[in-house]
Amino acid sequence: MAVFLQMKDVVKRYGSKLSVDHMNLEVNEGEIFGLLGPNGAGKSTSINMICGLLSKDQGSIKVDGISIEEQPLEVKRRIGLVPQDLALYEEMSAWDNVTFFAKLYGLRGNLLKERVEEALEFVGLQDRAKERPSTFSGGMKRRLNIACSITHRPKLIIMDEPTVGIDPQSRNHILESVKTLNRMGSTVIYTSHYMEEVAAISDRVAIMDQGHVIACGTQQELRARVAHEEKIILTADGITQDLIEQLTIHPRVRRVTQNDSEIQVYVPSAQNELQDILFICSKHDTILRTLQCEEPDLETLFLSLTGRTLRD
Amino acid sequence: MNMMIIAWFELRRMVTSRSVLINQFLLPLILIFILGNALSGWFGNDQEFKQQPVRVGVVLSPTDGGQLPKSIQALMNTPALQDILVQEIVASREEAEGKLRRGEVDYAVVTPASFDERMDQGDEVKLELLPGRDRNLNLVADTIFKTFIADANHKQAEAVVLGRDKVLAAQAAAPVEATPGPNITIGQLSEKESTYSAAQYYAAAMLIMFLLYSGLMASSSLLGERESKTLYRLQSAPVTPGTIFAGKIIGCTLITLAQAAAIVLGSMWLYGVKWGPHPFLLTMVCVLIALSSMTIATFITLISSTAAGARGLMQAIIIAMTFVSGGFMPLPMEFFQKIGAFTVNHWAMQSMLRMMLDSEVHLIITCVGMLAAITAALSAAAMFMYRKVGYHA
Repeated sequence: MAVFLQMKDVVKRYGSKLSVDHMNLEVNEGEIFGLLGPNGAGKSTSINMICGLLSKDQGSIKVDGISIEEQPLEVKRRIGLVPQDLALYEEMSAWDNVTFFAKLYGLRGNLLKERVEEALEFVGLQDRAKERPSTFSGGMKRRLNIACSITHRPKLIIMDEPTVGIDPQSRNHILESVKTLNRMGSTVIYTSHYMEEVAAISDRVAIMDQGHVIACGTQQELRARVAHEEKIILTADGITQDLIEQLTIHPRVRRVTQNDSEIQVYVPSAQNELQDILFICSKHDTILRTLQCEEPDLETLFLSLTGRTLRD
Repeated sequence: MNMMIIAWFELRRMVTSRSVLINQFLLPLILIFILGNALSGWFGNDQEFKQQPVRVGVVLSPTDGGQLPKSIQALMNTPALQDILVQEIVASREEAEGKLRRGEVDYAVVTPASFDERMDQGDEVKLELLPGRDRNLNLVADTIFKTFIADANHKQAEAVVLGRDKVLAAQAAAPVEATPGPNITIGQLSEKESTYSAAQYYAAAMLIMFLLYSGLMASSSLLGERESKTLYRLQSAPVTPGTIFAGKIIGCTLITLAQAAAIVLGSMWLYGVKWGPHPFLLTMVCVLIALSSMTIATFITLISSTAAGARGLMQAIIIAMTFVSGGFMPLPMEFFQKIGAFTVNHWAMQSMLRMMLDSEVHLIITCVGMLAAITAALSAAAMFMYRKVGYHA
């Protein structure tokens, strides 16, 4: 598969702070690439540099083989950016919003009309085309935000946290839209700090933290890195500090985290260690409510790599 | 092409805004009506401004045998001054003072002894001038007599430096004027109208003030787009920052010109304001004001982080410039008048008032030229700094 986006040794500094630290990344043509990381990891800064909205201090970025530095407008023609913040003209109709941005990409006449209709239909707003965004719900605005970015059928669609602050129904609609756009031939870069979303749609995932790509690969490849670790989740009453300490000093328990009445115990094999864990709980008169064993996921990988959760 | 797409979209956005329609199109006409009526006492009509003749009491020197010096007689007999100066011979300085106090004469001139002889000998000459009670009449008489003395002393100085013979020879060689006497030409600041009405004054002042607000529109639009994140999306499209900037400016300029047309035509139709016979020059002045406003807005956008902050600062500047240039009421204080001469409003106002009075074209062009010079200086500075206005992350 051909490389569509290539970032080589890219650095971005804000004063003395390194926001993106010698980042290397390759996104293949036709894939959905998930960029996962907590807030402040450098995802948005990276996207701004890819789109030519922010100058880099070092390194090179190429989109479809074209350098963003040498031919910024050519690169921009190939990209459809769905910004994290809603970027809509509230006083103009949905139709006017989509049409305006489509014109900036050179669409005219019947083709323009067709593409605008197509984009609004794609996000399910064809019946509300003449209405102003100020009358829309949060989810509808998010969908219009996407429509404004896809009329020119970009080769690369970059979605920066497109599901922030919306209802589950709209979220599902957007996730389905991403898959459809990909099937229609666009390469998609999808950034989020919601691990479940990235896991649900991405072919490959890069995990960023503090300006670095700390892991990159298919989901299977990434899970394999923490395959030796499983998680036992207990919900219980009467959790004491003594219980946590007893669990922690168990020789095959890697670490223990507690969140109110929930304890997460990381062990090499849940099946082998479950009996010991339950015995320790019973010794401390803990009343168990639920018990769950989980295989490793991207969250686990992030935790094992950084010692923090994605939402920290 | 993208520039015009942005400009047209900007225009449509503004036209859909009710506040823009009210503030930019309706408010100026209401203000012209209110100020024109409320402050009409500051202005006169043609009748009030007709120049009254100045009654000049001339005190003769007793040593000259009761004869008015010939040079002064020639001045008083100048045809151009016949309707302006009315001569009255007064016996003494004391009598002249009494007449001035009682208002029997408006101005008095005391001629020294041997005035003509002193002039003939090339000595410096002086007249004692006694002003009366009316400031305007004093101003007229002062202008005439002081100019006469300055002219006379200038000729004396020529005689002293070059020698009397050479001066006489030069005068003999010069073409003989049809009408002897002092060189007096009555200029014409206005061809047809002698003064303007309050409605005309405030129509011009309000047009200028509201045209200056066009920059505020541009500034608010740019900062508003930055705040609403649409500028971010615009920047991600294949358009250069310069195209976005120019598109915004063109859009705002178009609506500004529409606003100017509405004010001019509205004030003509509603209040009978005469804007003069130079529509091209008037359009040019409006464009220059709009450009000046845009450039001022560029600076303000540079130093303001929010649309509200920019709006406040721009309004303060516009109101201050309107005030010192006499846009709210004519200011008698020389200090403000001097400051006002450095404002866009002053030269725009002078241009428009001269057009309203149908002054000679070269006088109008001078004012328009000054306005153009200020606009060019502001534009050059804005071009230099516009890249920092906020289009680059």
